[in-house]
Amino acid sequence: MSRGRVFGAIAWREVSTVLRTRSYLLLPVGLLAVFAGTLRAGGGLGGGYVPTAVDLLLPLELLVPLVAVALGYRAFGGDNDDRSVLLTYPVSKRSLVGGVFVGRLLGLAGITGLPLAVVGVAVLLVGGHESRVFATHGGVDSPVLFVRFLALTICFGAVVLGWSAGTNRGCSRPTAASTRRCSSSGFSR
Amino acid sequence: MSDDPVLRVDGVSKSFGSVEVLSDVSVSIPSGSVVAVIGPNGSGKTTLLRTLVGDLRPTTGVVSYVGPDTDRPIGYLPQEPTFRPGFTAAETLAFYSSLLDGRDPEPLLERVGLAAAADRNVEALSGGMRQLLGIAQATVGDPPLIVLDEPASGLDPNMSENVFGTAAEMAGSGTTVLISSHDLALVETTADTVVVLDRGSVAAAGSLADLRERFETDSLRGVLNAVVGDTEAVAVVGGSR
Repeated sequence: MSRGRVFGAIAWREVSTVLRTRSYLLLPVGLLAVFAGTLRAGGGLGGGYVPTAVDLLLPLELLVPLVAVALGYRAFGGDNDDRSVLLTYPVSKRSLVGGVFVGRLLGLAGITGLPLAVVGVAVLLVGGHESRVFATHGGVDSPVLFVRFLALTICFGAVVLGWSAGTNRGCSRPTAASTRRCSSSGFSR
Repeated sequence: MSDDPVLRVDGVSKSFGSVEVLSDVSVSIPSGSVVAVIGPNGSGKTTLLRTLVGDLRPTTGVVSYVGPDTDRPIGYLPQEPTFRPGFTAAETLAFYSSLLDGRDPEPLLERVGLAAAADRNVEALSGGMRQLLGIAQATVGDPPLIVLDEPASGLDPNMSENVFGTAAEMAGSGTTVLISSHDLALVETTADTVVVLDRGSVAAAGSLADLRERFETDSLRGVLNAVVGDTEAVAVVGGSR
């Protein structure tokens, strides 16, 4: 079997896991509610894409890492940890780690990207081209800027997801070294 | 059973920090047979099995698979199998199967008696049913060697017998089954070869008849008692640290 198909099968299992976990499915709803509240208070929605992005910066800085950790910290632990079995199949460690990361990243992109896309559509429908915050931005406001904002948000989440899953991977194996490392860093196995 | 080995273990030791759990283990697993690893708690059975399947790297020594060339040479049931929540039993096996030939998982479920629970989510399976699903998983791809770490754990007596019977059937069709168990009665009726571990070393190995004769006893329990002593304390390898 090709390495690509193995990688794809592992990544797809992660996507399926995200789709079948109710608590994960509530996350985009919660994010959308926070975005709606923030935009209502900040008034960025009517100002265009850039004011909307500025309004959403703080909640995203706080919430995207939380979502990424929620997706990553159990990626290689608990009932998700079947590495000892998977390695008896023609699955390389690289395919396994890469497939899990890409699958979870797709989940993260969906969870954070969907509410942001809804916000983008809302700006398209109700937003103006003039900025209420920075007058100089009035001429450059564009959906392309918002898409770039969305992409950078997912990249930010990807970094935290990688850190979270990597920390969990190092802590979920009961070796003497990892036990010392994890207990000193406050993580449990 | 054939004299050709499917797996060779030469001088394998495994340490976790300063604790040596396996010490200079050498054993040959003959193909087409049921080989049982027995020993008291803490004797290193699980560590040995994890080392054999490649889950742990030996500190010293070599494990060599010398069986037929195949995509999946060794199937493995861990002592505590884990399954992804939210997936049915059939989907779980279909995933593992997709890593090989993508064959229909239905016959594997039928073989272990789980066909009726194919559409049940794994978190809704009983402990025994999860164990059976783990055994079905270990047979995905028809590996020449199947390693089962305490497969009867959590199963009722009939189901335990069924599991050991399945192992014997697989051995009859040319598959080698390496099994660790505390159920000496079932080991006695099923195993062709028995390896007795004590404090991380192979204390005795051979056919049941050989072992009974060598230790002048008529049961496997007698062999085990002769090897490890009749003690109620758990053997703690590496001292108290």
